[in-house]
Amino acid sequence: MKRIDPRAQLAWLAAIVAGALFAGAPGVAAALTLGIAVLARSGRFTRSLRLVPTVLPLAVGIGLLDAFSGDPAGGATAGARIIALVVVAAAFAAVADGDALVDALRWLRVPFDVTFALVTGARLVPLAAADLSDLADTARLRGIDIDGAPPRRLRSWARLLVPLLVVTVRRGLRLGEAMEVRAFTADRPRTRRSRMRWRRRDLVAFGGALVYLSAVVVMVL
Amino acid sequence: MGERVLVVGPTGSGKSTLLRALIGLVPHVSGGDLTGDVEVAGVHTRGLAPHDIAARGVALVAQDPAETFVADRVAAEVAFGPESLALPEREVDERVGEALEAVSLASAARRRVRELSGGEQQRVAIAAALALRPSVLLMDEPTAHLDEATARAILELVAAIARERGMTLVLSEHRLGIAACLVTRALVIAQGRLVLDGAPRGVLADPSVERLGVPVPRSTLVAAALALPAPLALTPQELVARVEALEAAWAPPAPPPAPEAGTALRFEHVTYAYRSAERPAVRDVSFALGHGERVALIGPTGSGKSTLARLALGLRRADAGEVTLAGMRTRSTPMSRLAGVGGLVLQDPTRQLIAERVEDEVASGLAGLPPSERRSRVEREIERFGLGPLRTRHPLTLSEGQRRRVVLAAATARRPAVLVLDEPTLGQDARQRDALARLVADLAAEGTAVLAISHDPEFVADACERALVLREGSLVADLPIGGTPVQLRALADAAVPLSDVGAAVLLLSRRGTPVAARTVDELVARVTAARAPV
Repeated sequence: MKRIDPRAQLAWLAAIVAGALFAGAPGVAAALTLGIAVLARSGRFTRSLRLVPTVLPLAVGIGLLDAFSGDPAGGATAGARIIALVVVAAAFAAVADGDALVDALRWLRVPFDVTFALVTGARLVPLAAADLSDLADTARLRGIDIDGAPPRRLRSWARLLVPLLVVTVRRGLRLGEAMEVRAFTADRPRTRRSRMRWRRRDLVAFGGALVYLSAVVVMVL
Repeated sequence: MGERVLVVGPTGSGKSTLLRALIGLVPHVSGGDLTGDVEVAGVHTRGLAPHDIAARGVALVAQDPAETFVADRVAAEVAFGPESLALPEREVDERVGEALEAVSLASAARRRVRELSGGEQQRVAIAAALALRPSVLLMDEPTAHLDEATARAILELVAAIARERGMTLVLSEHRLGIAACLVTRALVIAQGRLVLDGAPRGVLADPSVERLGVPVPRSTLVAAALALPAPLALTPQELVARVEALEAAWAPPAPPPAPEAGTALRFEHVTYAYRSAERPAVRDVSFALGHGERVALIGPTGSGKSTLARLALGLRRADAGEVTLAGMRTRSTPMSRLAGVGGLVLQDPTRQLIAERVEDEVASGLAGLPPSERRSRVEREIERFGLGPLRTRHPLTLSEGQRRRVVLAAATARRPAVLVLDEPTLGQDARQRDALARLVADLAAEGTAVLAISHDPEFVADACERALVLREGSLVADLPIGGTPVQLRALADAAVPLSDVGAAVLLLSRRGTPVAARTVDELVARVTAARAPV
């Protein structure tokens, strides 16, 4: 999936997410299966699946809500849907190339400023995670209980949010300056050095995504 | 046009502000009042935004390239500037190829920038600037995050490109021994004013420059003290070449005393791997640190230094082997008990400030102590680090140097058994570096073992008595840092960067004159003594 044109990757993402959201249990099962399959081939299976426990309480909560409303099957599907969407997002992040994604969104006529902001924001996430990890280590070394019981843990982590925000804003400002001194301005048109070329396998993948999406539409109707 | 200018000065003297003014970030982005006129590449900056100044041939390379990357892949990163100029796609391609060729990264065009080494990342940042085909290239401490050898390679590369293209280079740099050899002119800035302007060797020969806190190369200080013939030596090689044949040799001094009994930290066959990694970050590492020992942890980027530091403090738990911190096994001891005995000061102090006032930050690790003891410790550290006037300020509103002092105060207030310093001299001037070395000595005298991760050979020589060398997660050398040729040869063989004095001692010994010295004063005294008739 990594070597496929980003336009085909985006089409598959849209099709699978649509399936998971609107095609009931089969769509959710297909999203989970495809997501796991892509992750398994990406070499980031273990790392990516570590996200699942963080959304597990939400998935269980939503599932139980539906179950207690008298629809246990619907509850199970709703809970699984949350996990499936996380797995699919992780799989897409594992195979997508930020630069290619900017090109693909540009092909879809999305303004460069918007796509660039989105992709740059996504790039800042792991950096912010590293910043948060350093702040958490500092707190641990000062004896602040950030790994203890939930209420206290929540309060301790909340203390780190303001410094994290400051660090992230500073990082964003430095990045903005770096763009400015490389002649970037939103007021001027720019060219884009794109390497996107439709090859046969890309067209097949794109066609496959359209077929999948059509199947979802048929199921919904 | 075509001048290569070195801008030097103590930390906070205004070097970065000067460079930022040259590309219009001051005042257009930073704000503030600009009086007078700045003209660069034929344009006046007052009426132009930085992107317009960049479009007219001025480029800036920042200290940390990783913070300025806007793309995933090398080629896309380098193309960003020409694309912003709305050049035709073919010309963008041409410029990308040319710029990558200039920095010897043509084969890396498809690689991800975040997977490159620090030196390669800085080359990408330089290529990205060159792709704008600037007539003026500004560089703000471009080697601050690099080791000595990589820094030399980068500076030599940039100077060669500037020479070849007739490009004006304005370089702010702390590694003066390397940089001063590559430029045609030096400016000294202090407290926002230009205090000296001239040929690099002439400027560095001025005694007032060192007094300002400029990190004058120690080879230069030795050469000046010995009144060696002109031109002034900037490197150990130049220094030794100017020293006449010496008449006497010296026996090496006695080895330093062994550390006092008692172990602050012990690693026994420790291995640790991140869950997503293919190979362990730390592999079968064993060593011990005595109370009050001062140890440098040295190794290239990605060799496992930061992971080892976190293992030492109990922030990561070993997969195999045993880490014992102040008598406690970190694997089985709760963090709440380990917290008081380990301290960590990171490169970027902003990532360690979690309180709303300086005095609360310093007190933040002392919650378990009686109030009177807590107060007395806070007062002591506030006094030690000169934070009195800042005590009620929000730490995040302070300057970088002040923030670093706050983080150090917060770490030392707990009187840790082991204190880890991660690149503590980054962006520090000579006076701050000396103060830090004195602090390390004071802490060691109080019984704290200090583990300093550092690329700075002068700081390592001043502050540490032992070097641990990591490579690909393994401990490949554990050596004393001394001043004898034998000790220095062992360090050099283990790829430990030598201080100027250390390198000069080694060169003298290769010339048949065994000298032992660790400091400028010792080397001057010994060479002076050797000049006297026997």
